[in-house]
Amino acid sequence: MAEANGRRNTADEDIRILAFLCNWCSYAGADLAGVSRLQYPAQVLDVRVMCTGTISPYFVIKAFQEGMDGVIVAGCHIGDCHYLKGNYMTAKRFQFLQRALEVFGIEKERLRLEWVSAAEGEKFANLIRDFTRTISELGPSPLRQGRKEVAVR
Amino acid sequence: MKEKVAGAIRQALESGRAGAVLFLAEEEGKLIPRLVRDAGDPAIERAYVGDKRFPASAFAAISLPAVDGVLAVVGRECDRRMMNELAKLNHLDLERVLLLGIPCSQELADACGCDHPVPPEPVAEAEVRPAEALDAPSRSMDIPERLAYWMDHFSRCIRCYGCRNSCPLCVCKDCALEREELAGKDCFPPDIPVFHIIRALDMADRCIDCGICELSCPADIPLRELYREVRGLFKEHFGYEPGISAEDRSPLSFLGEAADLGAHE
Amino acid sequence: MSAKKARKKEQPAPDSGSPIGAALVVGGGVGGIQASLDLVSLGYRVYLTDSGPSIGGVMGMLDKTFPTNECSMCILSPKMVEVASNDNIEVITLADVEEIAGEAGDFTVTLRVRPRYVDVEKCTGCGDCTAKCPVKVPNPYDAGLGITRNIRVPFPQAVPGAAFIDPATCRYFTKGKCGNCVKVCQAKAIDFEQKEEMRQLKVGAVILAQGFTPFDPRLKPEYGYGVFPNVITSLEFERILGANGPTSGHVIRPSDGKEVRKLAFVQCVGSRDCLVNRGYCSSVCCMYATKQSLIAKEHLATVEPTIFYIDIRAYGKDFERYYQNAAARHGVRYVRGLVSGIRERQRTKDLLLRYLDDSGCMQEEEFDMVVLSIGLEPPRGLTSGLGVGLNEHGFLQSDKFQIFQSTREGVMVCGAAQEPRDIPDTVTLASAAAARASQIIHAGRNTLLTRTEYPPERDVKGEEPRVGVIICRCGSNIGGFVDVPKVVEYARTLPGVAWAEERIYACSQDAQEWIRQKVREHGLNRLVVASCTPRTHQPLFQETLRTAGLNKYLYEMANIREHCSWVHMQEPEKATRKARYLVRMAVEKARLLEPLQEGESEVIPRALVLGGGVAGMNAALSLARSGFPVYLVEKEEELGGLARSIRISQKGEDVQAYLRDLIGQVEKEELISVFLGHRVVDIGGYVGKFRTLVRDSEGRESLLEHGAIILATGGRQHRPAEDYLYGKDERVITQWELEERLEEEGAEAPRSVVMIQCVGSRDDRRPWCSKVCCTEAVKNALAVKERWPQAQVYVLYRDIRTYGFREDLYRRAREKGVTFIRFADDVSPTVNNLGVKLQVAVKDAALGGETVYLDADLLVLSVGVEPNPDNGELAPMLKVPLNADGFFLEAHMKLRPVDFSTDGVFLCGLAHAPKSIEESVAQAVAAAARAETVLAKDRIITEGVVAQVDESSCSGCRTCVALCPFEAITFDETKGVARVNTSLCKGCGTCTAACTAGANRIQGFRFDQIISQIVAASKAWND
Repeated sequence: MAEANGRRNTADEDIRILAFLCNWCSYAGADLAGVSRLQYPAQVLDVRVMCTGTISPYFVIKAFQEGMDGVIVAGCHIGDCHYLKGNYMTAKRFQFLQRALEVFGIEKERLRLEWVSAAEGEKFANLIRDFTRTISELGPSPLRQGRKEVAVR
Repeated sequence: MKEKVAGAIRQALESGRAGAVLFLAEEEGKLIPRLVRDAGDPAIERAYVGDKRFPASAFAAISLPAVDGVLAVVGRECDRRMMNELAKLNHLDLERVLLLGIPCSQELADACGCDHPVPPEPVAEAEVRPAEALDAPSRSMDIPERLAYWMDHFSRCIRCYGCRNSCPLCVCKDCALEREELAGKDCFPPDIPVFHIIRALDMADRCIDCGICELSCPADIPLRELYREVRGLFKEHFGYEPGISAEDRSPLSFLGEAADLGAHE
Repeated sequence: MSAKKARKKEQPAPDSGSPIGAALVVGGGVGGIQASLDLVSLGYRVYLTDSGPSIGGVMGMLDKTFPTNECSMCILSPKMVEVASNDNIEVITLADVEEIAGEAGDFTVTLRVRPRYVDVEKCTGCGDCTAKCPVKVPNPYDAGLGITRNIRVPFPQAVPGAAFIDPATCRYFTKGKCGNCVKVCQAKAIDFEQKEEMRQLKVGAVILAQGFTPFDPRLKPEYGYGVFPNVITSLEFERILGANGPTSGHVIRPSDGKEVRKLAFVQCVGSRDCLVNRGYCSSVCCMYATKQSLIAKEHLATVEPTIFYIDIRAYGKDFERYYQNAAARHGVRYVRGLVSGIRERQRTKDLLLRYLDDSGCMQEEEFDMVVLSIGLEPPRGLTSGLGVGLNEHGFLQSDKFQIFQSTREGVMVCGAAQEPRDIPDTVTLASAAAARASQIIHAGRNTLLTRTEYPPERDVKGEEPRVGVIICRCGSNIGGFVDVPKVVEYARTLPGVAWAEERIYACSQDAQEWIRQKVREHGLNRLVVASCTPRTHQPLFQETLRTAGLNKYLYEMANIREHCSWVHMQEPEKATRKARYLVRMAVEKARLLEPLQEGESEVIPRALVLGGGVAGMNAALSLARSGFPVYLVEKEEELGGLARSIRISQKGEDVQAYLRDLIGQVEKEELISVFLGHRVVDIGGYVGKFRTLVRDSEGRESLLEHGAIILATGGRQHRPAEDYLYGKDERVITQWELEERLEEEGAEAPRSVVMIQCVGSRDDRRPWCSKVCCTEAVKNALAVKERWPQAQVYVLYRDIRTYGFREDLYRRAREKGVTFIRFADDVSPTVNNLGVKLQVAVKDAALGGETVYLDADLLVLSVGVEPNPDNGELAPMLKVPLNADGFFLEAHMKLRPVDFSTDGVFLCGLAHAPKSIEESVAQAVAAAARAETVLAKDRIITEGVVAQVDESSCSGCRTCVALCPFEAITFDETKGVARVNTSLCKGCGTCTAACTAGANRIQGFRFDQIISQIVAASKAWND
């Protein structure tokens, strides 16, 4: 696989993204992307939660500690929350966390907050495509290097 | 100064404004917190007014159940702020505490980088200038440098929990820093030592920048810098600074708008 | 299956005198299934018959459904399994109704049940018999395209999931020898001795849901169906598109298996065609052709679909957007033209299509394959023995306003047997029919039910996790892209996994018994199913877990279809890897799952209906007639809503007379309390126990307590703001104003009336079709012709959308000399005031866009329907969403058309989308049925996924109390800890993320459980 742009490819292959999706909107949007057979990069794994309001900033930090290169938090559009205002908290928590990551030395681009509705399969697919591109441009998270059992391909 | 403080303690007790007073006393070369109920108590003479610090508010929260009426506390501006935060956390009833505020010395203020060395209505006036902010080496670094800086410091952590134990605003019974799934159990120090980051996030809307954590850290981790950067960002992002008043609420403790909810890329 | 059979009891004898608390549903398609599920939830025993060997109907054969392109079987199959596993629904297949004797409330039904020759109780559906059967037959499930064997399970998800024999083609019955199946069947299920039997059932009500028969295109010989191999029907094409179909979803043509490039759809084959005696519009073909074009392109990007049509009838909710997207963004070519004939090139088998284009010129174009969009016609023998009437088209005759009511009391109709219609409308009518049945037999509610007894829940506390893992192939949906055996192998290596296997369809009925067996066999105490989305399939597997004696929360799903195989189709290796990771994450979480207890709460058996228009009043009346008190709240000072401005219904009925009668009934009904001039101030509580504060104009407030809410707040008519001189010139009026004028005595006779369609519809600001305006215009054009025969009437339109039987009006209008002029989409007509008359200029599409000038004495605007501006205020109070257009958004566009995803809140009428009066009535009564399913229960089981506060960890900071969106958390002052009211808690977890002490935990999404998924993801990647 080590061809001309093999280096870049390897980086792309090795990108690790974790996405937290709320059950009612973004998970459903991802379902719709699937039903619509929209193709997007496979380096993303998702965790379903009932509402993004349940996502603690700990999870994001933990994900980085565990060697994720990027984290997505996606929920209902403001006003569409199945639980009324759970996503208001999400907005507050994660808009702040994005900036706080920089204080710790983690690029804020590695955390993406996005609103994806159940009808936005296309938006979900685009989000994954775009975020994967962003992360592969940033490269693997330096935190991953710190692990004892660094996965070297 | 010492006389003025002793006078204020006696006055509070005699006037009936307070049922008891809490202060730090100098006894045989040691500093010991004392709770006195009687204006004639000889310990009042030994009230300490030097630059050593202690989280008076935390002791106040502990002592309060044992006191009838109001508890007066000899403390600094930091103590006032701690009390406000403890009140928000439902751990202190502000109706029942009274601060006998003492100003900090210029030396202490400078060492603390404190911009508020004199509490409102101090028991003794003093000419103390707000100090220059402390140096924050990480601020001028680029992102990778900053990460290396913190990871380097964090990796010295010996998990003594001194920072948490001394923090007057750490009120959780179960602490995130001790959570196995979060901070690891077997590996020490953990591979990627992130739990100070987690604590910094938890304290973002709580920390009043007293710096006692850093004083307690045997590993010399610049905790104060960490918390100060995060709370500074919090203030910038939400316009909220903990401690200033007991009435305003952290945006993370009520539902609804505070930040610009719709606009982000 | 056997577990259920064992529990099935004989029908208990009903009390004499009161109506029989049982109902018969004829036809096991989606309509029959919905009606059965509703009836059983309302407390009635149900007999569901189908003339075929399985329920599922045509929907079970469809690949996808419009306008969401959802997998048809995926959304239907859980409902079929629900039917199969419900003790109080008896499915009787291969059965026809012979006679319905008696009267409403007390019918005796005679069924003729044909022999299956396979004992359903014994058959496991293993398929050994099929493998050994020597007789090959065309597979009816594949619309005859594929080949199958004579003895077989009808299709993988069939209910019952047992084999059957068609005696007409069986070698044993035709030649007297063979019997291979008997030899190989280890279950000894085959029984050649079965005889046809007559069965009698006692029921109180009957719902007819026989569906439709596809038009036979041989009646249109000019299209060459049956002669040219590459001319196929739309139903056959649906099967070609199906991943489980004869070509596994490859878009290839029958003659040579070549991939199709140029694909043509010919619309209106057997619809809108008086020459073959099918004058009506089949209502669904425009949309399914669009859907099939999109899906074909999805399967094979090089396909170039062309749809030849007369009018594109994208009239339903979100249809117009779907159609516009197909044309503008997905390259579906729409050609307006009538196809007159198809010829075949003998050598290549390519097809030459001749059509009359827009300007009247004959054109010819070559295609690889042609799909005939065949219409829907009534099933043969539709009424024999039923004692109900038919309409002039041979469909079931129904009441003018209550279209779910047949001509016979106690017998209801739903679905396409009444009029060609799509799935959501069928489902709506099915619920409405169930409500009507309940009105008749509610005195017999709960008298004939047997209660489901679950085996006692095994206590798994203290047991080491023993996780069972099933990797579903979903036919080729997963198996075609993910290396399933590899994933199974990986699953077996994971800690805590006691057993892992693959399955072709984990959701099929026989798989459920298989799962129960594996749970027993391997002592499993946790289950992971790696298949599709938990949003549709979790309840099914949880139910299976319950019947296996395990708490249903010991279940976790890995979505390796929607989130994996379908989105990484070109990267099978990566898809396989990702499937492994997802399975690992699910397994790690499953290990930490604990049994959860569901709460119970009481139900206030009373409903609140918001809106006193036609929909609201019908909903209220339906509930009251089924025995439930209703609060009817209307913001205006009188009842009637928008219908007060309508004179004549689409069917020519006097709306005002109907409305007077309806209001009279509501006022007379003792169980309905009407609150006029009241607005909703606040809605609190939850399903079963709502508290709503309403306020009148003088500020007096009333607090209403109720168990369910029906939202019927209506919509409004678009106000044309000076469009076409409206409001400036009194000769410019709306259709409703025209209706008034038509009734006015002595109104001056116009010489020329011009109508303009799509005013405030299908434009940039209002991109939806308002559904009713075409029919209204056509109906009024006829009325103008009736009153003033000399008047010239012109209708300027884009597409005439007179779907269903409304097409009759359109045809009659043309016969009466109404002139229809189509204008191009981008060029709306313009109006000039010439003083004595108005002059309308329109670019006539039929004249190549040449401008035509029409004089108008009256210019009539067909204005659209808009969402109510109050919707934005109500939606958050009800905790329900609005769609992009501002109408309320239902829980599921196809199968839950009147439900909201918020429990206990239902939707009907114009608040949902534009629709006609009788459609509003049907939806209202359907919403009443759905609300009744809540009210008819004594108590509601609340979710196990709720927050829980660990008192020993709670520091009492009260942050969670302030953050709960449902005010479900209170502070216990004596203990100094937070406390969760589990009836109010919805399980969002906003509180848990705020608890720095981790004292507040959301069950099923606990901190450690989510962290375990994060760690699992990392471990999987590092493997």
